[in-house]
Amino acid sequence: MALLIFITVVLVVVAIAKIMRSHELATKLNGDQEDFVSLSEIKTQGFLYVLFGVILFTLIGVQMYAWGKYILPSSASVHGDEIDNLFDVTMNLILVTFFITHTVMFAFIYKYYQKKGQKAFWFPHNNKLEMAWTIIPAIVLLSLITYGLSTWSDVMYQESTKDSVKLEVVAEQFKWTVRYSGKDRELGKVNFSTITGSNALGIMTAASVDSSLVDTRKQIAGLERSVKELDSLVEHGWSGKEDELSDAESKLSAFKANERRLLKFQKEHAKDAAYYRGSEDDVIVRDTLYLAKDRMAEFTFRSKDVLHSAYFPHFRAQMNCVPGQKTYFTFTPKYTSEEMKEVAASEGKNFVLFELVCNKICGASHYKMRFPIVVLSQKDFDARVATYKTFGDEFAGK
Amino acid sequence: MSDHGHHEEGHHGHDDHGHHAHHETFISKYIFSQDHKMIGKQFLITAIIMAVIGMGMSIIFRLQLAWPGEKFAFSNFFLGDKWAPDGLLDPNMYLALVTIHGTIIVFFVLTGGLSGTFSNLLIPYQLGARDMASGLLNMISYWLFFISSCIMIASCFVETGPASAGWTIYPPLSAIPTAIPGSGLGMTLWLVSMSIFIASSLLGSLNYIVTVFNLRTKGMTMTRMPLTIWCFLITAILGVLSFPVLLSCCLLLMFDRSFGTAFYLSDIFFSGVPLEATGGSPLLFEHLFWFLGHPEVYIILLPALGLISEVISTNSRKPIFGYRAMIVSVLAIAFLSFIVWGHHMFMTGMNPFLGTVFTFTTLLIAIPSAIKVFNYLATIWKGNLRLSPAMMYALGMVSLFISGGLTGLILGDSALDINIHDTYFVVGHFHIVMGAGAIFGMFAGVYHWFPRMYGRMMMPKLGYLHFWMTIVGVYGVFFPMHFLGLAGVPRRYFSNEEYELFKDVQHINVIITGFAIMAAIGQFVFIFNFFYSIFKGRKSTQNPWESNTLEWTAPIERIHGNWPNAIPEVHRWPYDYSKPGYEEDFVPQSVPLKEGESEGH
Ligand code: HEM
Ligand SMILES: [Cu+2]
Ligand SMILES: [Cu+2]
Repeated sequence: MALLIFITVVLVVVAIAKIMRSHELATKLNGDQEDFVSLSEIKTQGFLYVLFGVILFTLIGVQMYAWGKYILPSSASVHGDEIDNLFDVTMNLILVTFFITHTVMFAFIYKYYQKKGQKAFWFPHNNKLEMAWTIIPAIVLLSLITYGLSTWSDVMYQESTKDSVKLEVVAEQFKWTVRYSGKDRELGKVNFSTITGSNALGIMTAASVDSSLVDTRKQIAGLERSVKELDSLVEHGWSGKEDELSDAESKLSAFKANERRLLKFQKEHAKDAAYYRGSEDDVIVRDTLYLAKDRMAEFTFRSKDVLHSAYFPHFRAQMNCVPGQKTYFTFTPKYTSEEMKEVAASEGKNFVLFELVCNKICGASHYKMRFPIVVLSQKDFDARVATYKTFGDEFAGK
Repeated sequence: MSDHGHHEEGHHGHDDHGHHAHHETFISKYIFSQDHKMIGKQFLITAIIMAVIGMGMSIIFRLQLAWPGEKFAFSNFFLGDKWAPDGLLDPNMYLALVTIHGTIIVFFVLTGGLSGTFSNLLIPYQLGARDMASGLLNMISYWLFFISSCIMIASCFVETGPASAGWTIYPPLSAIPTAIPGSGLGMTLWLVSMSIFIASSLLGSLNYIVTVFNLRTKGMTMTRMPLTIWCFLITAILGVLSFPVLLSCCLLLMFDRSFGTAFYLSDIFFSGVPLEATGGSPLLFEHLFWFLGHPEVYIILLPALGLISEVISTNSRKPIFGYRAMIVSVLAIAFLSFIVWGHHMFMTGMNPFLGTVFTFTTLLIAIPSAIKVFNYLATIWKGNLRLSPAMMYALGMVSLFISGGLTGLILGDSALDINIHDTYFVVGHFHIVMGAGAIFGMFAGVYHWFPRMYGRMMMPKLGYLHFWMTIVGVYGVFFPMHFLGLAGVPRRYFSNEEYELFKDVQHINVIITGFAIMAAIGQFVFIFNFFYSIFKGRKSTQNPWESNTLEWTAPIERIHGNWPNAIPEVHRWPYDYSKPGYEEDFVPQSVPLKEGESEGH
């Protein structure tokens, strides 16, 4: 089938070419020898260019009319309004510039396409004009820069409020997990060395460090056994085991490094309760990101494996999640999920739910890496988060 | 037509002995040629082949985006049962196609292909040189390019698939071999291929720079050089300054992948193992990558702007408006392009203060860009526009440069980038301004200089057909993407099917794919026209476009050394079109000034 279509296409192209070629030979016979493109052709093309311009403008208008309603509804966060304003100002400026410059271009093409007896005007430069179109864009751009940067600093440097929610979003292939700071409004320390099956986020408490160490040693013992076995297999000439062996060896060395790190923690902080402060009462939520209306949410982001990006389209918020580094973003939701439905409806837009989506290529299921967000009233939010166990209880199996 | 100039015996003593009678075999003439014209053509044809491959890939993934879950015999035909069982595309293969498509178009077509073709063809011709400064290095540059192309294509056939971390290959995804299948052998080949490519590009660029500074004919001062040459020169300088950084960036990644170093890796827990490598940072990679990456977009764009400057002036029968302003803006763009890379990184967790700085520098770039656009418009004002296919493309590029440059103002504004970074808005932006823009410049160049390359003309009617299919396709494909981006659709998604949020906009994807298929078919018109005209095209005259630059003073036959006798001398700038006091509407650079005539520009 594909082949058939392909052949048809090729044949059609060849046929068109043949027709044109014979047409060209005919014009050539008519004595139009010198010009490689004829004036009549130029006239047609000049006309087509203008026609194209009209169609382009029309279709852009049609698109804005028909698809404008798919553009995200107005911002669901406080700072987002500022961004939306800046966007509108910039967009209007762009549209005006686009239409003016294009109109000028199409008009010139139509007016000055080559004709018999038309002569071009000798006009190599003009300092005044050039000055004008250096200075005017410069002024416009400097104003845009000023406006843009004041918005940027408003968004990126938000003063923390007393009742803000402090939370952490952790990304890994291909899921999100949320951790709230709990009553003490402080997120406990984390380290990737302490990640185990029962502590997927690597939260550090005295107990979790101990148990990671046990876990790591178990791994080391197992790996040492398999390295020995594989080693002897390879020595006895088994082929195809070398990869497995080197794989096991590098894992072994990774876990040994992990053991060293954990021992260091133990040594330095075993008696240091303050070091592990803040972890016990953290709350982990795995299915939904809850936020409270009008209460600032101060996010910390982190990744366990590759780069991800936490993108909150409705809230005009985004931040990459970087392994080995914490990143931050802060926003304050303006509407509860329920209210947002009405807001969107009043703008003629569709809204189902807030979502957090991954926006940095992270692997095969990147396109499925999403997390629902629910914004509740402050009271409901507090009640909701209280239904989850604290990390300390969870880890102790309570 | 014109035989101004080339009959004139120039002053001897410049370089009149460059033309020898070589005994050429097939191999030395067509394969291991050291002749700049042949090398240019080799680059062009390799680039055309790469472009067809890149375009084919895009059709496969566009089919998936428009009709997720549908089965396409087309995809199965090209990818086989492993990557498209029954014609259902595999998500890993989707990412691989996106990655290799981007790599091929950005590096192999628009960097290697565009500069390789036209810098080689035009620098010696337009400067009045017998050849490049070093024919040998030039030949090596092509063959390295060829080898790297072959390796890149070969990487598509390894068992785990080609690199699939996006054309920007951000680690750790690209560093951990098991993070995605394509980060195995495919990624290694990608890095090897790119390293060879960089070597090729550096050899080429050094050669261009040396040639421009040393081999200009008598009278060809810097301010009498055509803008094409200015753009090629500045492009080459950008390349020499930025590609080595990409090379180091790739080398460090190779170390991380193979030798256990940790330049880009830290605190990673992957498939049950806390990785040993710690202390590095993925942000380091991003900085290194974009330190090349942003200049790279101008490495792509500037040669195209140079080509259209020449095409627009010649076909308007009018001097390019503001020649010096054009040079200054290109210099300004080139300089600024080195201090804006952070605009790709606003949301990476980089310090927000840096975001402030990069926003400032980025938006400044729009000033010289605006000057260029206005100067083009002033050039066609009151011209006598010969709307040849080349001219159609050149004007099309001006349109695309405006459209895509304007959306850059949104992306460059850090506050606005928060919400559209990595969405389809970005995809629309850079395809219009860089992808299509530079391709249009390249087409303008091919249609315009085809007679210089092959001594024959391409068929104009097919050229027009090709143009209309392409520009309609480009606007049809990339304009709607802005709406997708504003609806919040992220890029590099295999499908949006699962999202309630994106259900409504799915039909836009169908429309886009329709235009993409049309545009792709249109390219076969070009390919047919190109190859058919090489052999059967109408014979060209020596100066078919009645142009002023030196390449048209050389005989139609492409001989070794370019000019059979003395090299023409230059007496004026290249833009004396419709100059008062002259009968004809063009005065080639080789024509001496009349008594009392001022050079006046
Ligand atoms: C007025 C001029 C321009 C400005 C202000 C501008 C700004 C930007 C910004 C800020 C981004 C990053 C967006 C993001 O990732 O969120 C971007 C992306 C991009 N721009 Fe531009 N741009 C301009 C012109 C150009 C030109 C002339 C080219 C090419 C010739 C170009 C090519 C690209 C490419 C390739 C990307 C995407 C890279 C990627 O993430 O894959 N831009 N542009
Ligand atoms: Cu992800
Ligand atoms: Cu950039």
